[in-house]
Amino acid sequence: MSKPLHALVLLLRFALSVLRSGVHTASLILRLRSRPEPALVRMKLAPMSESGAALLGSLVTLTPGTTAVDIDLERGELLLHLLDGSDPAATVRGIRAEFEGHVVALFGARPT
Amino acid sequence: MSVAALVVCAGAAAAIALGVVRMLLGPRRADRIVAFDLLFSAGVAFAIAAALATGRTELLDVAIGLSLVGFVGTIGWARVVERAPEEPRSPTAGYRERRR
Amino acid sequence: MSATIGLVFLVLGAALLVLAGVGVLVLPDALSRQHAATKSGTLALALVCLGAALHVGELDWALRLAVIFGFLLATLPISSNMLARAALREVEGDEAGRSAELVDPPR
Repeated sequence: MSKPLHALVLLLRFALSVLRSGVHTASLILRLRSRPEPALVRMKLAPMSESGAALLGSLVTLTPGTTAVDIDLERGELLLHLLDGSDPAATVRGIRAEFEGHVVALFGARPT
Repeated sequence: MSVAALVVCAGAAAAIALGVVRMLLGPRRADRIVAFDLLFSAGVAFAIAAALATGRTELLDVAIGLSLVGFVGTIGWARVVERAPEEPRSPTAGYRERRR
Repeated sequence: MSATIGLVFLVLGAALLVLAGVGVLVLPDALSRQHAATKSGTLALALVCLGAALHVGELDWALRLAVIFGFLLATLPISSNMLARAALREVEGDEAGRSAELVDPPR
């Protein structure tokens, strides 16, 4: 895939995931009982450049329900806060499947 | 005033009311800053509502200015909390702890 | 027609703004409340911008509202990140990030 195509797919996936997790977050706020615990987790990043990591952090932060608290490029880790901590593995898988590949394709795999 | 402006005003007013309650309750300084950020969002909404009510685009320019610099206040306060060694005890802190 | 669609978006935006307020009030700790205030707030403003642009249906309004939306989108991650760091430090302490659980499902 060419770079503009990657950017377009990333934009569409981002818009979709904002909608999906927006509805999920709204339902979390409105359901007063049995609200799942928030969780603080670290996730391993694929090797990527600094600007790529910054973009990935911004995308994750803009998606409702997840916030990137810290990026540690030396250890290649992203510190995430999840509003719905019931299944962190699924959330991390979602971020990888939807954002990470395109971000690496757009900004390069090696820290420069 | 048009229905559109009234709707936005009502939403923003409700958000401000809830945000002020959280700001008064605290309990941490971080909670108050979060509430402050919500008040900022409601402020932008009010500026747009005012533009809708009067039909003047100058009020949209106010909203542009707000949205451009509004995050600076949040960042400033967040930095203060991040760097401060410890939370000073407020006069009402003891009361709240006893009540909890 | 577009005025009606715009009104629907404005109502949605206003409702989401209220939801942000409710979230800030009912969620359990500062880190979680930060989610409601920054993300719901900005999403609500995005809907309000879209709704106002459709409702009025004039180009100079649409351009200005697009600029507002762009600025909000650019600044939200910054304020959200700073709020999260401040809340984390105040609620959990300095070392919470280092000792957080590492989630690494197989690729």
